[in-house]
Amino acid sequence: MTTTTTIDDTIRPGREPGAAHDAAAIQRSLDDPSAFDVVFESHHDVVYRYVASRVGPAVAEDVVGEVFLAAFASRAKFRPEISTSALPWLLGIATRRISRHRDAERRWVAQCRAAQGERVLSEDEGAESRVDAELLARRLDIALQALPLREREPLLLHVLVGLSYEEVAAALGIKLGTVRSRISRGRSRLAGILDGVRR
Amino acid sequence: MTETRLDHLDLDAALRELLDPSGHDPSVDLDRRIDRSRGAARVRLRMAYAEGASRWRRVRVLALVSFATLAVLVAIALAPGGGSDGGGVESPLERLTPSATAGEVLESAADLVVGSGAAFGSGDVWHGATRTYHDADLVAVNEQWFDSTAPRYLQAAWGDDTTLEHRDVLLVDRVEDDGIQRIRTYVRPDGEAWQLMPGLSPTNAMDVVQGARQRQLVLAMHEWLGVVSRDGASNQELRAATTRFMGMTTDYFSMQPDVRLDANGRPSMRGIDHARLQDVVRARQAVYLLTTVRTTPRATAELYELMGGLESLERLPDVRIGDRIGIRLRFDPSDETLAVDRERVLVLDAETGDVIRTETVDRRSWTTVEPARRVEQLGDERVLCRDVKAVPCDLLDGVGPVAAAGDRFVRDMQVRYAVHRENRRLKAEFGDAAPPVMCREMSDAGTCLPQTEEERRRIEAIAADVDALRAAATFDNATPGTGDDDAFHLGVPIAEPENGVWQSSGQCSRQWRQLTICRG
Repeated sequence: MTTTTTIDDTIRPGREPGAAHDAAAIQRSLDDPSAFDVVFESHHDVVYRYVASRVGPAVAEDVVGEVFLAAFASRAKFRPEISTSALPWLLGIATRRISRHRDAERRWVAQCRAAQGERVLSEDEGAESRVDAELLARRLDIALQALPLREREPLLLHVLVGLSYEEVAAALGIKLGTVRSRISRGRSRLAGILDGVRR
Repeated sequence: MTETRLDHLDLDAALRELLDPSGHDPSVDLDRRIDRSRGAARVRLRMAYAEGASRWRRVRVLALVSFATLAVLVAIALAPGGGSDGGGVESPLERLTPSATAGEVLESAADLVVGSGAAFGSGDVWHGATRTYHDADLVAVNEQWFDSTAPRYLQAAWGDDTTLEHRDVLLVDRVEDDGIQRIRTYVRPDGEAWQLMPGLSPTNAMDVVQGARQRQLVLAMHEWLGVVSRDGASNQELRAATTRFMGMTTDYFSMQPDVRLDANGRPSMRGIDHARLQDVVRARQAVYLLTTVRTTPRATAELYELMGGLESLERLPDVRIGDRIGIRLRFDPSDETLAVDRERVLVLDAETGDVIRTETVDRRSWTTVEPARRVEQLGDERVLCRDVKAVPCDLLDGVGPVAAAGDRFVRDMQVRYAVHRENRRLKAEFGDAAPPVMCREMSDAGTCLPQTEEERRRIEAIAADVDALRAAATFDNATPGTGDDDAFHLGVPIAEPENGVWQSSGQCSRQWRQLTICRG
């Protein structure tokens, strides 16, 4: 498996320092809307990368705009006692927005799979590993589509963004134990589908 | 190859690799897209801030206002020389009839919007914005607000400084009741919050000429819209209101060459009548919707209700690249009664406003609702072309801009596509041990030139399969070039266009190239 620069690598370092400011900024924005800029500037890029991973860059811009508008409109409902960082809250909103773009998501994943297959064919690798990787991508696509939403959402938030289980729980508004079990089940289900490719 | 089950790390890495938003297409510059997204989202948020600000909370910001467009719109619509009977440039509004569809109104309005580079709206609070793009990236935004119920004028601009130094600058330009204009200039160093420009006074009183004139213009425009929008308004009332408004616009747009002026330097009033004004009003409504930049679904729904019957649209930010402007109009997906989720794309010549390309797509499936059409240079002629099928670029390598007309060309393309698939299959199956790639050499007409007898034999076998498929297929003569995307890959013939020629587009996009039908 080749390694890539992941979103997780990119966002982790910068996320925590801003967390302490989020709650205060959101509180201030109730009187001074422009204070919301702090939240926007801190988290836009992470939210964009996540959304782009889910529905592709072509659709991401629209969705991200909707996410921040929805967040701004509902900022009074932000609950810092659940997470001082606004990121899980924003990603929760993003997840719900993404759910309105299922077709775009399917197309994006299919496009990713096809592109990966093309890339594999052109890379200077052994024939066996190339075919193997192409099959892996194809099966991963199928497996992802087959994964129930309740398992896919927490798994992708955890894997693509690097949210902790606690943050995933805050994002999706579910219990910590539920997050653990759903991510575990999701991984098992995916691994089970993919397992045959590796043999 | 390992025989152990995939562990978590492998699985997570595979997921990240599969869904890497920048890893599949070298042409996707993710950083650039992020910057663009940030700029666009920031504009939307600023508008939301304006809606939520306490000063303006009692009224809604309904839509974007631009004074220029309205004036240009009115001037063109009312100027006698602007019509087709005037011998001058045909006004887009001339094409409108009482039964014009929303699409026709929108097309006409879009011409005006693009021609003026601006737009307008209505309501108690007016909000105008102009956006500047550089190579499709948003680099500057200029916004104006005006509250007609308590005359104050506020302008804010942000974006790249025009100096060599690259930084965000926010200019707040406000005209108070006392007619004094006060300007505050803010800057935002990288990674820091907005702050007042060092060395400048927090309230820097300035000359009010421009702000005051805009304020007067807005008041006149507000009055004019109030009259023309009211049922039962008499011709006399319309003339009076229009005269006042046009008087204002004469000053304001005296440097605007698109506005036709009479001998006295005023936009001509000849030809004014109810029907024409109704056209203006309809176009206004269309522009209103067209320019609802990044509005919320709720605001869009309100606009839709307000406009009463026009299709609900959201206009996404324009993209200007070189001499072309792209306008994206999104039908409001939240409007369940319309049950549409479509996006209309207009690409216009920035110089002339001519539509270069127009297309409507269903955003749910990204399938084309109305085929794309665009004007292209074909030999010495400018012809209208319609995209028919995207094919792999290498399939069209060696094919000139004008290919041989007729179904033979399509058949050859289908053979080449089948060969292409076979090349891929062999490589996937046998890797480095696969036979040499076929069709490496092409004739000028785009047919394969086999390099060996073995290759010739294999290509002929593939061609025979394609011909067999074609012979068994239904020839759909009624819908040439549409609905047969899959059929093309399967080898089904595509009807030859009447009086048209096939050609391939000159540029590859994401390793695909369009096969088009063009007509003179």
